[in-house]
Amino acid sequence: MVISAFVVQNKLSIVFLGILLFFLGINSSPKVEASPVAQQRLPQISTVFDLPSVWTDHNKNAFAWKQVSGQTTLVALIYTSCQMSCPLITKELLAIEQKLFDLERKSLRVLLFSFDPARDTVNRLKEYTIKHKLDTKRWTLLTGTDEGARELSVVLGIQFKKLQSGEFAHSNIITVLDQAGKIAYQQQELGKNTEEMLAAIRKVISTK
Amino acid sequence: MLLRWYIQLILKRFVAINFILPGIVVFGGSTAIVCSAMVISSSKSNTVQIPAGIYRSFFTERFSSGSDLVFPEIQIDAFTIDRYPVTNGQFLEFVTSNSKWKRDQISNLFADVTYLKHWSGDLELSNNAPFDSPVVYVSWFAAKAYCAWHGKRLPTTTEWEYLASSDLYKGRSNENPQQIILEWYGRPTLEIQPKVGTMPANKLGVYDLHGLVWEWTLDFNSVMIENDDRKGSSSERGLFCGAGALGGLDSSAYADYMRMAFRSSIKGGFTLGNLGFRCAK
Amino acid sequence: MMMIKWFALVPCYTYIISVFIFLILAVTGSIDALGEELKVEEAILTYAPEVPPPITRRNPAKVIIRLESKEVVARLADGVDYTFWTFGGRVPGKFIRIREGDLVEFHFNNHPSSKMPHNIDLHAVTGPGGGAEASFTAPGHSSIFSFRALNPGLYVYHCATAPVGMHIANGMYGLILVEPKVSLPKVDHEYYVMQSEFYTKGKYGMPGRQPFSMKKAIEEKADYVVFNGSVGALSGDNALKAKVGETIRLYIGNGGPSLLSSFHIIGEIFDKVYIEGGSIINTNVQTTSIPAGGSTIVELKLETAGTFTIVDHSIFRAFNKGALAQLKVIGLENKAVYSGKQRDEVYLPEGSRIQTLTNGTSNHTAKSKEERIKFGQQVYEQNCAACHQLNGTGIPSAFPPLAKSDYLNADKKRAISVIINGLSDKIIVNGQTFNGVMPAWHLSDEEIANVLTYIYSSWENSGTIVNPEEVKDTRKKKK
Repeated sequence: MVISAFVVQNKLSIVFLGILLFFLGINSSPKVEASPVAQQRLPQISTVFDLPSVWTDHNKNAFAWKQVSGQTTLVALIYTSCQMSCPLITKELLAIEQKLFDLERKSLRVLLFSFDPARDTVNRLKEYTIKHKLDTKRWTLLTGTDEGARELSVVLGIQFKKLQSGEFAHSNIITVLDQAGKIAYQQQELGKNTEEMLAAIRKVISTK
Repeated sequence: MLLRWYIQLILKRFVAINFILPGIVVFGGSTAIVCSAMVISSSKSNTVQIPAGIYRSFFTERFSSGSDLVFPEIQIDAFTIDRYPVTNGQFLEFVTSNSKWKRDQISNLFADVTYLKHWSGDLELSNNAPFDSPVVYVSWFAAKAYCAWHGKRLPTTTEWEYLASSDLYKGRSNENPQQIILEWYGRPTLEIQPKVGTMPANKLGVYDLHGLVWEWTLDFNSVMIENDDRKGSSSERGLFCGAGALGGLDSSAYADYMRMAFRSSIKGGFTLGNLGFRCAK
Repeated sequence: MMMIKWFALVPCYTYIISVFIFLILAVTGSIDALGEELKVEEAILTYAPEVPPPITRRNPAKVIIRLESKEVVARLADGVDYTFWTFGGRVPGKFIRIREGDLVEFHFNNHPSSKMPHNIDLHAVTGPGGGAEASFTAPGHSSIFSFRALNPGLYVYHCATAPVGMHIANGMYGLILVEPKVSLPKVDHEYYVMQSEFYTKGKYGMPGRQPFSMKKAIEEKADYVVFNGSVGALSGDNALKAKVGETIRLYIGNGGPSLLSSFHIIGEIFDKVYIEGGSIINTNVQTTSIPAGGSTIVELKLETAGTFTIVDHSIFRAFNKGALAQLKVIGLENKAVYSGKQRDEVYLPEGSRIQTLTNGTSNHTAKSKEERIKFGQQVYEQNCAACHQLNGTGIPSAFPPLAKSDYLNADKKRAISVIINGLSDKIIVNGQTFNGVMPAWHLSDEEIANVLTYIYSSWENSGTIVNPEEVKDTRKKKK
């Protein structure tokens, strides 16, 4: 009796619910077949967090990837002597930080790694954080070794080349890592797809 | 009289046969043995000493804003390079002692699913992977780890291109090295790679630089060519920083161009059936 | 009152329900963002010269295209092999057929055996690089990108990986047809033809596996200019086929890399040419140009049977470099359109109407039979011997003999008349029929008398003498 009354009173909602479930059911079948090669063996899963390279942050502390485990992390590679797009990368990251709501920002971390360990000493990094007014609760600048920078660039798919003039030519990719260190999204070009990037960040933040 | 003369003759002959002749044989033989040993050992020695040199860069650069684009002459310090690419047999030795790099243990970060797919087992070669053929289906990370295990490293792109350059190409004087190399690139990939040493050596004695397998370099991702070649140099600020300083390239060196294009298409975890490596120090 | 309230509420509820359903459908992906419901279908791709069937649906769809790049060794000409870089395993690449407005999901796969990375630029794509940026793929890998077909037309696609010229020169091109919303009229057959060049180290025809020559390619000195990827790909048994009375449509591309095509079918005229593969139609065209990296569409109705040769009318390419193909049309010949050879006639330089020939008058007056014969021989050799020959034998079926000629000997007056007036009747000489034409000769009475005397006294003829008065008499009787 109670049930039937409930049904009668809420029949419109139940109808809507039914339609929703129906269409969700139709669309739940996988759209892309797994390639046959991928099914041959299941590899061990590891992420950026498993990289062995050693980094020092702008406060002279040793960096460990687990510091950002559980957070949503934005990663880019820059060098402090860069005249061209590195300041733009920083500005873009700042803009994204601004666009997020306070609550979202809490779980955001930004890591900037240097291509140029020879010139980017800890002090230079520290100066950079001051110059660009970076919130160091969330932002960390890092320097390490040439080998470490090369390895990280390969893992993130970032091209870079040291030129004869001492400058670096490099791609401007900004990477979004999820809480477990997997790459959730990458923006290839500066200033493009900012909305898409924000959406991807928000998606990671909301997934716990 | 005649008898004495005859005996003397025989004595002379005797001496000749038993002393001088063997002396010659021993002396000549030992020299020959020593010489061939030297030749064999030097050709079988696994590495080649490369003296310092100058490499004319494939890409142009601008040294300061407003200056012209030039092809920089890059100074290369002396280094040692493997004479041949790393073989299946050598790589097997490596994974046997480093289980992290075995096919069933390697992580997805360091190699994709086709890692060592031509081997019949994690520690077993196969007919498709002969012992003395260059190892393929290896990623950059695996190659790097192999070299590190031997106290070596991967050669830089500059070092590799220097060895592969037309100046060090050893061939007939009327041949155009770019055309010859292009012909080798034009041949389809073989299913089973031939043994190392099959392709000719360059002027410094380094084998197989052209026509055997593509090879990983330490900074393969330093090639700044855009995916769509028609744009020429990557002058898009949005994509590449420092692009103002990095200009065009030498499009007449088309074989070099193809190697650069190939490098720009791969990522560190890729494993391909025609991509191997060698180490440097 | 209740009724009115109810009437007001029903449309309200209907509206709410339909909005809700729409939202659900949009969210769950059944509806495309533009509000059209898109069916998903796999594109049918075909090898040249076949073309996928015409698209019959009236709405855009989501089309999935899977195309593989592969490097293969195959025949370029008899005895000549080449390492082709292909889309789909053959040159030209597979034909893609979609419709204006379709949303394409393109899966570009580079076969693991490839040595080189490859990508694809489709001229039908509006977007950076035509897709090339998004599809740059290492061997053994795959790239996926999407585009919407905004413009109808016939478009070339090709690889754009460095060095681009080499990738194209090795065979990496094909055609994609974006059918317009109002589909093209139906025809009996559709075929896919693509012209291109090949640059080899050895010259045309040199046997063996020929490598690519970058030098010749830069200088635009092609060794081979072919249709559909090899010499003879569309000849003999592989010729395009149709029947008399049918209308065919050819989708034709020019992969280049460098040369422009002057496309012509010998013995046929294009009823319609969709200029440059676009929307403007030209009619009654003999030869149409196809730019490198461009296309054209031609339609023609086949009125008579036969084998029609297709060429690039830069003619040395057709006969010396392989730019030849064939269209075999089967059925009854239509003599009203084309008769073939009707007859063979003798051609005399001054034409077949009886004309007078002037050869300069001679003033030799013969005083005796011997003189007549002597002068007559000169006249004969200068005028008559060309046809009747020096020894008077003539040429069978063409020129009657004068030697021992029954016709000649039977009637002297007639012989004189023939020289004065010419002859175009059928005659029988020594048992053989002659139906030729002999012109009238403008010779003086003296000359005619002399030459006839000579003829009659030669070659076992009757030996009669002819004198100028007889010639004059016969002349009066002319006409």
